[in-house]
Amino acid sequence: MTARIIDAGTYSEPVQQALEGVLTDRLDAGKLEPTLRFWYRDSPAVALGRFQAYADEVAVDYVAENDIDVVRRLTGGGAMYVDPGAVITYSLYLPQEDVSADIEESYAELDQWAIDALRSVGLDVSHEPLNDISHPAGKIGGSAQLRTDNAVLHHTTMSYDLDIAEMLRVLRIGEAKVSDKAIKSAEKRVARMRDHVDASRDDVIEALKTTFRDRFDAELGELSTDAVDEARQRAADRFGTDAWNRQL
Amino acid sequence: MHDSATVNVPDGKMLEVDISYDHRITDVRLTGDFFLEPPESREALEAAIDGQPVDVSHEALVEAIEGVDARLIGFDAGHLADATLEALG
Repeated sequence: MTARIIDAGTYSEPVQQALEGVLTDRLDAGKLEPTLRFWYRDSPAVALGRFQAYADEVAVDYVAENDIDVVRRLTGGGAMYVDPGAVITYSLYLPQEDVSADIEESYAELDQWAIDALRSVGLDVSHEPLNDISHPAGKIGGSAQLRTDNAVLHHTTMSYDLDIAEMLRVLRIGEAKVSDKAIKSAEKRVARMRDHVDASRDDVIEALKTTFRDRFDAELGELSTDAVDEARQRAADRFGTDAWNRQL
Repeated sequence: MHDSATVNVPDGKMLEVDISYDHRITDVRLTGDFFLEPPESREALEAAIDGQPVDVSHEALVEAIEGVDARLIGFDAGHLADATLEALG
């Protein structure tokens, strides 16, 4: 089946996270081609790892005062502060049979085309197990996966020129907090593409699209209206609710 | 008693175990930046620890945790047992 690239559509963080489930379900049911989707957001947000405790990760008062959406993902991993225009996020929805069954291997495998694309614009990046894309200056991005019976969701967020000071106000890694060990874990230095190359964010996205298209013979596609409608419904029922986002 | 402990897995993930205990462990909560397949197995891992006596051995905890049908990614049953015993003081 021909792979698709979807590079359109601006949605709120709850709808974005809801789309992950909708599109993974559709691929699982054989109703979606293998797809690469780029995300466009309308406001800053926090994407919380599925198993993280809200109050441990987020500066609760600050996000409330600044209307920053905090949305729990379907995938595990760590909290990311995401600012439209300052990060690049994309998702892969793939048939399970096309992905290594070994999870550690599959992260390396599914990050490789993106690493090659970033290298093509001059970034000295490499995969760092389990799920990081690293630059000599620090961590430039991270991936997370979800597996269903027949599908694999692999999504990645990378920093183009994230406002690190703001990130440290939003996420509690900026505080002296409860556990020194926790700080140490989360405080891997964030590296930003803009500090190391002249390529614009659009140039980087173009390089990602080109590399993916050449390697997987992909064509440009669109999200169906009913997939977006379903995601809006799931956002209202789940990803936009405290019952989901603050469950832990 | 209520307590918690955090374990940082070398080259892996962070996990935190919150528990209450008297003679037995209750109210277990497992959180962190790890991965689990399927995601719903987080509750099953908590249930494997819930109800264990406060003098439970590391070996018995590992056995209970390994009895859960889940893929732990970024940590293993030993790390979760470590965190539980550390929370017990």
